[in-house]
Amino acid sequence: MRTIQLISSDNEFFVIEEHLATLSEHIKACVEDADADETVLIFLPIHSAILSKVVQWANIHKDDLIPILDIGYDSDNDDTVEKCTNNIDPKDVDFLKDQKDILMDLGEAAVVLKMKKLTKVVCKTVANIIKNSKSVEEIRDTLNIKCDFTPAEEEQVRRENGFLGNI
Amino acid sequence: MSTSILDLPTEVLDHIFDFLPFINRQHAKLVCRRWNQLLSAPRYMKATQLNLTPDFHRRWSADDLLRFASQGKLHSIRLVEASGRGDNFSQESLASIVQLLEAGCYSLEKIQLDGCTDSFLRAVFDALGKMRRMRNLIFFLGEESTELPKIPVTGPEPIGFSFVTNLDLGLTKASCLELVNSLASQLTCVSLHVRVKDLLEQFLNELHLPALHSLALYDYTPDNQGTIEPGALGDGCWRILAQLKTLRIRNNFMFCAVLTEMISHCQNIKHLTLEHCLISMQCMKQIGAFKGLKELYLISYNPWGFIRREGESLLDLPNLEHLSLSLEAKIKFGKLPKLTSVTINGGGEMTNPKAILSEIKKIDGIGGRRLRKLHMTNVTLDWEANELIRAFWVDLVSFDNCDSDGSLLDVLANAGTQRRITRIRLTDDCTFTFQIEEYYRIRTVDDLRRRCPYLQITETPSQL
Repeated sequence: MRTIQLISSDNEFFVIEEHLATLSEHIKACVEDADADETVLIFLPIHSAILSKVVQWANIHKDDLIPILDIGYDSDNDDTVEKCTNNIDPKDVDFLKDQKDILMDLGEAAVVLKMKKLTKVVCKTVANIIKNSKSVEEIRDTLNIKCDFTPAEEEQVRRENGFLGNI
Repeated sequence: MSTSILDLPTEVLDHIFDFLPFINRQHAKLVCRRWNQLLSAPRYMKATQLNLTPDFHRRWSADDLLRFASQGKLHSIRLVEASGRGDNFSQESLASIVQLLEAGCYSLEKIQLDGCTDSFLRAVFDALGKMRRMRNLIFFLGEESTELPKIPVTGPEPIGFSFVTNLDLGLTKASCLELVNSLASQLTCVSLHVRVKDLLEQFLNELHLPALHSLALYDYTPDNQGTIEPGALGDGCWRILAQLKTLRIRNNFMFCAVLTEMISHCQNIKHLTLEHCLISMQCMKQIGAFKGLKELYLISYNPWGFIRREGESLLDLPNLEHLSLSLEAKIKFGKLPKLTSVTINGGGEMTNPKAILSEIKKIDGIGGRRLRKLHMTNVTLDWEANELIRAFWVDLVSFDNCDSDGSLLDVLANAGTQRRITRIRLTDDCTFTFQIEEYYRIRTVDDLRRRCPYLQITETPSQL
């Protein structure tokens, strides 16, 4: 039996099951050449606190019938569906509800591990935060961004927005 | 943990911004410099348009517009003059528009001129000659204008008009044809909004458009101009039709007599759209014989639009991928081995989704195939129609402004449990009617969501 071990940036070990390898293209690539009874060690630039969450997320989706790596809708030209952000899997909504503080870390980890589905879920969640904010200040507050515009620059962007219409 | 959203790589931010509609992107631009910079990239700016009406200088300063254009952010502009009502651009604003066009000559891809007067067109045409990326030109002459200016020829340098491949034109004056003629060798997509029948006949018969592969003809002729007579179209027209990959016809009355003959010459057609056309059996036979056809749209809301009900017609199209119907017709289907998407488009009593659904259900082996999309717009679904939906394997089932019997939700839940359907999309104006004596456990979309958490259900605002 092949074992896959992930090692976090603070040197913690995570033994994972094969199925997680199918969720991450990075892990999949690492495991591909290994023999069937080999122990594969993968060093990752991700902190254990985040990595444990990623593993937890993967376990939630263990039993999904639709393969999570590639749903196959990427070639779908249907803009309204592609751009939709209220179709996040309820399991993911529950999972991310308590993870507001580390949302960006999860996103970063998802990029490092090349986990398409997790990246998408995080991006949709952030997009929802932006959509649901009532003012620009609220976006800055929730996402912890400092405004680095000079008042004149900000006014210019505001004017520019004024004369542009949607196509 | 301390990762900020600004630490994320650009492609992730782009991924996030892709999920935002236009209005939220405008907000996001005001958040910080980096976001503003990212959202000013062409991939987002190409979806924006600057609309200028004669009173624009009262709202915006010409300097702001000019700065914006010279930063290369202006990709699409629409100039609207309501010349009939004396609402015209002043000399002063005309000068700033010309300046604006010249400043944006390296980024402007689409230019639309609506209802424009002669003096305005003359002033703007020179500026258009300096464009370097103008691919789309959309043109509607004002009621009072007499003539389109000639395209300026300026020496050996490539002139702005030589980039135009897509032309959208109101066909009102003979000079419009001259414009098409002077761009004839380069045009690939042409849409004509026909107001004068004779001009269309001239266009089809006399012009030689070697690169054309997409043609849309919209009939806006007044009734007194009558129809195109069967003998009026000749070899020139057949040559154009034979080279088309895409043809779209929206008929008022004009094409009635020649439609079948026109269709018979479109041997290379891949996408065919016929709106509000009277389609004869013979014409259906022609359509059924296009082996290369990939997309077929037959749409009509008008009472004269349906197929004459003499016998049945057979659509046996080996390459058909998308089928969109709004006909109360007796159409039989062949095997349609590549069919992935079906749209049923209704308009009240006119259409009969049940007949179409049951015909599709009869397609050999359809029960074992997986469709990508089954879409229904403006149809009334009764109990029997819902039972037919049960038979399909579909990735996405969507309903747009449909009135349905309450049994639909049960059918969807059932199909969902068997994983026959993975996604459902509804607009918020869909209604479900429950008969009093019927008992259903699932009565709302929320119930359905609770019952089938693995279904992706989206509710979107109505487009109407």
